[in-house]
Amino acid sequence: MTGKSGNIIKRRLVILLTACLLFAGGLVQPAVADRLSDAENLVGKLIIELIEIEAKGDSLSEEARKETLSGLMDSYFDVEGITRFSTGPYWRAASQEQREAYSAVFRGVLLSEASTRFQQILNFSFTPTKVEARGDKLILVTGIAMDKSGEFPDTEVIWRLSAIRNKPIQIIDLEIENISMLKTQQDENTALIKRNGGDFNALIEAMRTRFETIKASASQ
Amino acid sequence: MTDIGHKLTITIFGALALFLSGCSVMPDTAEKTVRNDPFEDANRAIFAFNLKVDDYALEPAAKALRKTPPGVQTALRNHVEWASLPKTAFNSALQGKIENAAIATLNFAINGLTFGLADLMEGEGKPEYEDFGQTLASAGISEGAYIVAPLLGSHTGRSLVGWGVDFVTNPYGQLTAGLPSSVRTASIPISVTSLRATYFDAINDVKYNSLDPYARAQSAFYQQRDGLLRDNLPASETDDGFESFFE
Repeated sequence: MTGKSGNIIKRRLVILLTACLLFAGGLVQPAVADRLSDAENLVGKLIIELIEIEAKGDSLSEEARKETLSGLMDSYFDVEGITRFSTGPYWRAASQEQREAYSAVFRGVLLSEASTRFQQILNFSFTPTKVEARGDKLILVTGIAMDKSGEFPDTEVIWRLSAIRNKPIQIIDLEIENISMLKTQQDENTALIKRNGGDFNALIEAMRTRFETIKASASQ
Repeated sequence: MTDIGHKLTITIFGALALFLSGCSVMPDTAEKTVRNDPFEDANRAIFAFNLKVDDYALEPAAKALRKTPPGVQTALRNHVEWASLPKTAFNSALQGKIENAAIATLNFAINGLTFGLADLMEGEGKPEYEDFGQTLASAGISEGAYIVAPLLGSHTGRSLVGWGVDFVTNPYGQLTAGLPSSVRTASIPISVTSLRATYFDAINDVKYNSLDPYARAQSAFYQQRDGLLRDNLPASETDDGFESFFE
């Protein structure tokens, strides 16, 4: 091969590679943008559904309300991931039996508290200000929460969503003024296990007690 | 206090900062998962004491404050925020954040017309809160151990020293020096009650709905502090401790 024809081939190769990259980029960019807008829409949709539930008021029985919230939790939140993450590094060491026991009681606590938490969310209006990807599995929807009563100052809120390829986008966390609900739960749970010498059952027991307390106060 | 007195105080606090920070001058990463809590037993005892104070004094006072018209609560909250502006201006200047220092000074001057009770700068640029703990962080002083101080609550060694320096050097103290001492003394419990009322539900959630209130308060403190320090420390490429969510 002469030097001249070699240069031509090299040049064509570069052009071809550049075209491939541009083509791939063109495909990837809208995909990322779609994921971001899907994440933002999911948060918006959740808030709309909560408003609709709230609008039904007393026409919804307590049982039906719980069932609806349970459905919302499963479709909008990555409950399995949240449960696992909430125990930090101790999840790996836990037995299958312990994992199942914890998952059941944690879900009960989440559901019992969901009603109050969702009610708190509805006291605020949420205006998204930024949607960004963190790595290829996590999306952050940042916005300003404004208290409808005007009692509290505007607050920055971040919704964290898992965006794993070929899986539905789901909410994993809500951060208010730099304080993440899930991270706080994880820190609390791991501290409790650590103080009990690494005994995962201590967390299950404490969570059960918490669940019973919530149930008792709800029935009063 | 004389100039020499001021310098001496700052020197003592500076030395104390190094001591409490473990005598190291190492930058932190923006986020951490393992916290330094070597005094946990003592901290838990002080935390229990602080909760009692909250039970008998702060929570009832905050509850009463929440029954006042919203305007009163907003005015008090504005005043507390306004009173911290000189500290923000001073520490912004120390950190070289001149624009933030200027905004804080302007807000302080304009809102000073109402003693900070009304926010005349609403909708205008608001300064980012800065304190001496953040100034120490930006100077590379490590955060040190976790300390629960009686009545003051959660701190790191660095933020506690910062609190002390801010308390002594806050120009607000000089500006209000002409006021009757009863007014100046009353401003501390009013500020604390106003803060307690603002975060009433969040604090009660820690107190009454936690498996371990101490651990929850510690976690919330560190996350909140990390948020404040985000612009003082090297940023993390990934999201604060959530990388392990997908493992």
